[in-house]
Amino acid sequence: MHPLADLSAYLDGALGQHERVSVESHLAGCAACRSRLAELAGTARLIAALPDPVPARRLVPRVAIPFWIAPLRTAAALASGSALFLFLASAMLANLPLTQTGSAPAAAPAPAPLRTSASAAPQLGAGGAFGPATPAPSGVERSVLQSDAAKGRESATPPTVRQEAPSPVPERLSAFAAQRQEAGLSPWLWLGLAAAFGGLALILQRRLRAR
Amino acid sequence: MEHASGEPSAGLIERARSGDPRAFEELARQVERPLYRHALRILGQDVDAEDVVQDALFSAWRSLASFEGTSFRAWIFRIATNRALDRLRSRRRRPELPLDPPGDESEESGWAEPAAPGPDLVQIAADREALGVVEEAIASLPAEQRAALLLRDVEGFAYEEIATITMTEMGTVKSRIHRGRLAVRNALVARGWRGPAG
Repeated sequence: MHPLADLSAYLDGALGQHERVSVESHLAGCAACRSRLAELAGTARLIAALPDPVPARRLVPRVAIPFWIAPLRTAAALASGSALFLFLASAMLANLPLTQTGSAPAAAPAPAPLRTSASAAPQLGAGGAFGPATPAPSGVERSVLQSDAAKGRESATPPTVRQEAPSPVPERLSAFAAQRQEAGLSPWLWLGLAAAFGGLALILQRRLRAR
Repeated sequence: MEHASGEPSAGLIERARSGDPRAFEELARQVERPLYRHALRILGQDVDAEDVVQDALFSAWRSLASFEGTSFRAWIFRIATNRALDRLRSRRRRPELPLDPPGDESEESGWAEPAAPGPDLVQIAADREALGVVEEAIASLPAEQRAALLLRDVEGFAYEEIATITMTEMGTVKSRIHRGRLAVRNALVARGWRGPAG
């Protein structure tokens, strides 16, 4: 009987002494089995020659990198994006009074300059810092304006807002402008923060990617 | 393609075992591609194969301290092979059934005879056409047979190691490898290759 089922194991040197001798003695006298053995060897050679696929991404886990690097990279990228948004918002706001003051008196020539400016100020606060959107009533008290200024401080309305306001500026409003100038953050500061966070995110990303 | 890359150095394995993350990454890099090609041929889908290898390597990192065997390659291939077969099972509608059909190990398959004379199977060149037939034939093998055949012919593991990796008996390993090779041989014959004359 032909030892066909043992031929692969024989080829791989995986038979015990007794079986190996038995297969060898059969092969010596059986051309058909020698032929089958050669075919199996050719097949095994082809399987070994299969091309080597390459993974599309790195599969080695980065255990040498502290676990907090990846979340920190994400946080830095988000912070950079937010700072950039605030920069754009505050830069746009800085230019807003030019159009506001140019159009407001023409549209509604109010007798009292205070009325125009007082209604313009809360709008600025609302646009820049997501503050209260309802315009303050005319004849607002100084304390109301001051609280508006406090909100403006939180929202970092740029100080240039008041610099471009039309003159003559009412006295109480110029005080308000001075406060905002003191408290508000410059748009350039936001841009700087955006760049700093962006740089940090890039550095962390390179650290994560390095292999 | 060359055969199985060698076992990583004992010093590197020891450093990784003692918790050195850089040593482990170096160790993992040495087995990354062999593990990937193995998982890919078992699973047939590259994304699944990448996930399986990544999981296996991460799991190896966590349990490396418990590795006490003689062959790191056999150990990591065992983790990856089991995960790949588990993933195949989970893809099926009834994962509790065995992957390979019953009777797989006992039934003797025949040797297909060439219908007409063709190129010699023994002298066959490893060209694109022949390799395509081989790849296709391997993909259609029962999963556990496929895993055993790949571990032997591509990765170069000994039968004893394959028995450990696949957690089966030596007799089962022997049968799976032989039947897998025979199926690939028959696929080649069906495409017109013939056995050596005589």
